[in-house]
Amino acid sequence: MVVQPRWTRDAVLENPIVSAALICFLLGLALAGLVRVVPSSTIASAPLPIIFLASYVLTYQQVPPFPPVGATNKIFYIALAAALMGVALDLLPQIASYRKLLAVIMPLFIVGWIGLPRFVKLDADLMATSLGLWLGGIVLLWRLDTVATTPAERNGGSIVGTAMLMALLLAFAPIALLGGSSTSLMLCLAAVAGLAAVAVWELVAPRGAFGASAVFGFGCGLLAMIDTVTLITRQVDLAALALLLLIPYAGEVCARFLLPPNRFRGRVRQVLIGTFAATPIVLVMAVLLLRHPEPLS
Amino acid sequence: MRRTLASLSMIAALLASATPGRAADYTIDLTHSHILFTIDHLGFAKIVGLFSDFSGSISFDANSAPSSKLNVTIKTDSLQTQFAPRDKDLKGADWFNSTEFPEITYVGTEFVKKDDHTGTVTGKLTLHA
Repeated sequence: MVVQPRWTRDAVLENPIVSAALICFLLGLALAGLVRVVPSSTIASAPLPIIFLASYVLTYQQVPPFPPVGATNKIFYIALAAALMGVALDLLPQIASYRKLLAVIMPLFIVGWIGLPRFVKLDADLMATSLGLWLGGIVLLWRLDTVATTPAERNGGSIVGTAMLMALLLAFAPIALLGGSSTSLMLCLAAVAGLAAVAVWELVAPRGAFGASAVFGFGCGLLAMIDTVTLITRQVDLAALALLLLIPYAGEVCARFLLPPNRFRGRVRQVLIGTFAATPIVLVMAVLLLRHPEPLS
Repeated sequence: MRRTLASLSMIAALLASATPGRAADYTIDLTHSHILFTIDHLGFAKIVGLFSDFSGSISFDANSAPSSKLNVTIKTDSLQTQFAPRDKDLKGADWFNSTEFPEITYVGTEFVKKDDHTGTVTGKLTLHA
């Protein structure tokens, strides 16, 4: 028997990815709107880690048990703990200098905790992959933190940071799908929708929604997801994954060549740099298509 | 994660194909036993999957079925659903997570004999533990 699918509006909304993305977008709109009522820069960056945690809950349909059972459960608590550390860094100026230290330590902790079940039997491949994930994690968090603390005139700011995270998620989504984690694809797309809502608010009414809680809460959640697919599912395309490291620098590099400082300023400059940050996605897709010509076989 | 499967009729097939060990003790014969499952796909198709690597023992007394014992250990990495991308996904961290949880166990808790050839076993299926 052949059943013809009916592409009605209801059918589209019943798709779990579409509904999760829609909920995250609305949540992002609501949270980013609410934080504009409160005159606190710490609160301003709260929507980002909340969006990541909400995307997780919508994707896995649960708040994971504590202590976590398995790597996917750990993702939630890593994002939560890192967000709380970020809040502390935002609130206490006397410990703000520890931001870079956290950018080095957290990726190591994430690789260690997620990969723990595999470290009982160390081999050269595992050690190289783990080292790569740690160093790559440092690059990612370090750069996100730099963007967060750099003004728009010097190619930083909240729109650039948010766009960078969106680009990282959009680039990792197909890598995750081909790497045996369709669930991570859903998490990525839901989180992108939430970030898009925050970006809209930042365009309309800038509030600087990219403090340490956003950098570490969202960034560490993303790293935990990447490490889980890489170390536990173990089917990820490492060449495509390595290309993610271009994203944090693509915007800055393009800006130096294409955006004279006296010509593009403020939000226009941030939007353009954010758009440039997404250019490596094309490269990631090209590499995936070349290396996986028949992904469904 | 602990889940209980009621009326696992599959075990009846295992009982029928078991190889004698001692008087009433049997080990599961892989050659003649199967662990199959079906997944409903949007209500219009069923996907059939299987685990090809498992082991276990059955202690069965035909005259006193309720006192029987059943223990099965399934290797999660042996999952097959006739579609490689789906197998990759199911064995991955999001589902069976064969890296962290390489085994599923099934322990029979209730044995009901229907007639001389069939019966029902209820038991505890444990995964992610």
